[in-house]
Amino acid sequence: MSSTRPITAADRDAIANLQYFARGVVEGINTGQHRSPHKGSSIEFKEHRQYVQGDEIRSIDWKLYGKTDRLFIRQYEDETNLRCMVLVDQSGSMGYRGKQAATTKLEYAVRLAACVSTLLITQQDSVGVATLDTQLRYILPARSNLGHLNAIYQTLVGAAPGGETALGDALQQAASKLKRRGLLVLISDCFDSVPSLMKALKFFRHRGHEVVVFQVWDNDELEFPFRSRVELKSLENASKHLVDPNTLRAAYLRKVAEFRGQLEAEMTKQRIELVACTTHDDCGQVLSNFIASRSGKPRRHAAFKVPS
Amino acid sequence: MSFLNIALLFGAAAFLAPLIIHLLNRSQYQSMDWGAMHLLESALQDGSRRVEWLEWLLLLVRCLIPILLAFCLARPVLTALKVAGADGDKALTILIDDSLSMVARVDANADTPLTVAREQTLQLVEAQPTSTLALWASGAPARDLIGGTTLSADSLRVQIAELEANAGGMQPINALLQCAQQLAEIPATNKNLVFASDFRRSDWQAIQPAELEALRRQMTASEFPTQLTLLDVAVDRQATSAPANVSLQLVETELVYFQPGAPTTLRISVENHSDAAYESLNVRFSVDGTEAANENIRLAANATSQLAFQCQFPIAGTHVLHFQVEIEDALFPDNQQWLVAQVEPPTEVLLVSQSAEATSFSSASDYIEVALSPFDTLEQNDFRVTRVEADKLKPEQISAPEISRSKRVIVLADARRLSERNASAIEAAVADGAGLMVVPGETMDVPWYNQALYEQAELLPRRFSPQVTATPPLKLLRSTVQFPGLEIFNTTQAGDIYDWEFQAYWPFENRDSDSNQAIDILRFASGDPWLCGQAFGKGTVLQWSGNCSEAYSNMAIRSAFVPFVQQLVRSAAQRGDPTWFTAGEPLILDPTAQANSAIQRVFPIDAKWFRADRRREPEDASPVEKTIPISLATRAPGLYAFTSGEADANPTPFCVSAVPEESLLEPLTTSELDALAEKLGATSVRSAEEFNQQASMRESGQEVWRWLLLCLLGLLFIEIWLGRLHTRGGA
Repeated sequence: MSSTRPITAADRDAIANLQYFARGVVEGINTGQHRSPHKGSSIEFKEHRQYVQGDEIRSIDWKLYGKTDRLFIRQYEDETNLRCMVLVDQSGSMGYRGKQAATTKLEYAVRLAACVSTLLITQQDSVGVATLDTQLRYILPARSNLGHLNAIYQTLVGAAPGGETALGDALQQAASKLKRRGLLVLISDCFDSVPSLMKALKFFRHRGHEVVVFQVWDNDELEFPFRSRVELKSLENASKHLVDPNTLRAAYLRKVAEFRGQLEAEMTKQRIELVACTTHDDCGQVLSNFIASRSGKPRRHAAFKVPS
Repeated sequence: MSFLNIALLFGAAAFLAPLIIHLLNRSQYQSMDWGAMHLLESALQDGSRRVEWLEWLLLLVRCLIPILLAFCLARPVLTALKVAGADGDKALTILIDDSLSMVARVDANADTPLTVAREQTLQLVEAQPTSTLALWASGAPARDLIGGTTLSADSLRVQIAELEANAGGMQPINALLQCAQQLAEIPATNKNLVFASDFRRSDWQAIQPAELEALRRQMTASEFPTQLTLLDVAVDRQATSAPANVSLQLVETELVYFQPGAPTTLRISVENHSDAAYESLNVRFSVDGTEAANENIRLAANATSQLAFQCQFPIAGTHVLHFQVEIEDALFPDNQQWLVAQVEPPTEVLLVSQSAEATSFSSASDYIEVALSPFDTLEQNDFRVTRVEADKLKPEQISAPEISRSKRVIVLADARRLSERNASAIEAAVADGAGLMVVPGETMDVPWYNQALYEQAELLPRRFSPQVTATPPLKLLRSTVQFPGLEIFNTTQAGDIYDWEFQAYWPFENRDSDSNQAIDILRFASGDPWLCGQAFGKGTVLQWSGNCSEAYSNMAIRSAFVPFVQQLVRSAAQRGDPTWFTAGEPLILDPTAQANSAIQRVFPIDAKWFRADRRREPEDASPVEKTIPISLATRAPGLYAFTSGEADANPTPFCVSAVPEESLLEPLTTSELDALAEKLGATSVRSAEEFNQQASMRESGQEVWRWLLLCLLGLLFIEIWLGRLHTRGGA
């Protein structure tokens, strides 16, 4: 996607819809939370330190002075904003939409990215977005003002599926652009070789980024529900296969389970959080579950049923 | 292979249905985009080849199912099982076992094998309306019940319904051979021989492989071979033990003789053929219908008990002796035996030797004299021997007009030569009915014997040669002896004559004319005759080529010697007619006497002589007297009366006993019966219905739709299994 593309009326409608959708979702999430993120991060006590000349008088802990007859300074956590980069995979495979699905995987990823961005900006964190397939297609730097949301929506609406998946290379390109450490949210179907993908993600982790991966599936990809013979054409290249679903289903589902197991194992090893979801899942519920899990509540990450 | 509903075979084209469905499925599919292509390709690599095989296999099975269904409906017939000529003219010979064991009852309410045989063979006759039919009974000797063949089943029905099982023995191979010979002459292409029998072990265990081979050859001799079927009518084939049966047998009857005023001891054996023991069994002995003795015995399981009865008759005559063990067992007829006692004065034997006195067994005459008079008292011996020196023999001693010619035997043993007058007297005596036995010896003048007795008088059957020495010693050739009186040596009961060894003998020269009617009775193992004989006038001449003294052979010290010499002298004396036969033995009569003679059955063996409650009068006081053909006279055990064709001839009683094997009721097991059928090249069936099925199969082949239906069911199961495997992706 090019940033110079003129915004059309359809784009405006799409942006409005996305804004409306994302705000609705985020308000729902905030309503359910009992603690304010503002308070939580600003008054966090860190440690005491002995007073030295030049320290502000107001920082002295007078109660401790009363007890110990010595001067100590109270120190607090740094209150700097979180910097988050949301990476949206727009490879060809993300353009798949099952018969029963309301959206393509890319549309779902865009909505999820909008929700994440809206949620973080309303918390006064800085959010940037990037789209990628075989390479990094577009990157919007992180900002924390509310006006930046429109730019984010505009970027996301402009994402279109195409090209083969080569997440590893694209992520390495993105890593070179993210100088400051922060939160990296990757929304993708992860249909790449697991070692290549993990190599890039490891790099992020090495640079001190916290990484969260939202893996987006279509239900058809998890259940292979076809009954009669079908010719399946690749969304990323010219390959196609005529298959008998009845005979292939079992083998295919085994491969899906193997792939998911391998991905989950590798990500757990790198302390990367993997959230699997399908295009049938409610974005708000997915985010809500994710936030709850980060707060230490024992709630499920994925709202969909994982096939055996 | 042919089909009964061949039109339905076109239904096999239904195999095209799954094929078309398969092809249509392959050509019709929808096309759609797919995202997770790398997972799909990975799955395809894993199982696609196996699944492809499964698909083809499944298609094959699905095509075979309608084909098999069409085959089943078309009712295929396997014509490979059809026998050549089976659909042509048919001939069916039914051979029914009518031996005594066929009336054995396992228990009081059970059918006898004969009853079952009647039912089943009647069904066979009903099922073969267009066949040439024949009916035989297998008891020894086998007999043709309808005298040839017939196209009408009516006569067979009557004969089957009236058939009784009273034959005292059975020779199954002989009977089958006769039936097969008859069938071979019938111009039919589909020949069946059905043998309905209880198939007891005792009837078949002595059958030799050569006999079986002979039968097989006979069955397959003609262009259209005879199919033999064994129809099993035994009611106790599956029983674990033989039914309870006790039999009574006379012991050494052939060697018992009755003289006026001399006591005679008769021995019988009572044998228990079952596992049941009897604490008290009553054995009766009666003479001429009057009870003479009564013994009570205890009989253990599978044991034999012997009893001795003594009787004495003051004057010459004929008496009927009867023995019976009183018991209700599986087979009644073997519980009794008859014996006809011919009380006669002893045979006069004129023993002419080179010395008048026995000198410590140095010559054949010494041994022969002892063999003919073994007891000290005259009354005990059956022969009255007068020994004279050859040189002192007078013609009056030879002619002896006071003695009946037919009761007199002259024995020339070791005699060097005789005077001319004596030779003439011997010739006249033999021509008048006396017997002559010539035993060569060391002192014998061979040229004189050849010249005077062979060439001039033609008394001797064969010409003597000079003595030869046999190294190693010669034995006699084993064969079945048919000379009257010597049949007892066909078994070793009276001693074994085949262990005799001869170091030297006087061989007979070959016959010098075709008119020589001499018969060779016994031969050496080398083939040379050892004993020969011929009829001369009314008398009989027997000529030995060996000597019985120790210098020439060991026969005198063997147990068979005494009975052998006695039997030979009795034969030469033509003493009376035989009165005791084993069932199946031929009754040979002089053709002139046979013309007007008659045989009547006085008591069949299954007639109860005494009541079970031990009252003395016969249960059947006046049994039906039935005239029977002479050829069948010894077939059924019992008491008979023979009347010769001569004027004023009195009936002569004689008796026939069953062979002891008929009392052994243990049946062959099913597997043994099958093995027997295999050896005979036959099939074994349990019913007429089964036979008809097999006959139908041979005529038109076997329908195989049942087997195809089973295959079809199997294919359906395979299809389900393959389908499931296919659905699981071949895993």
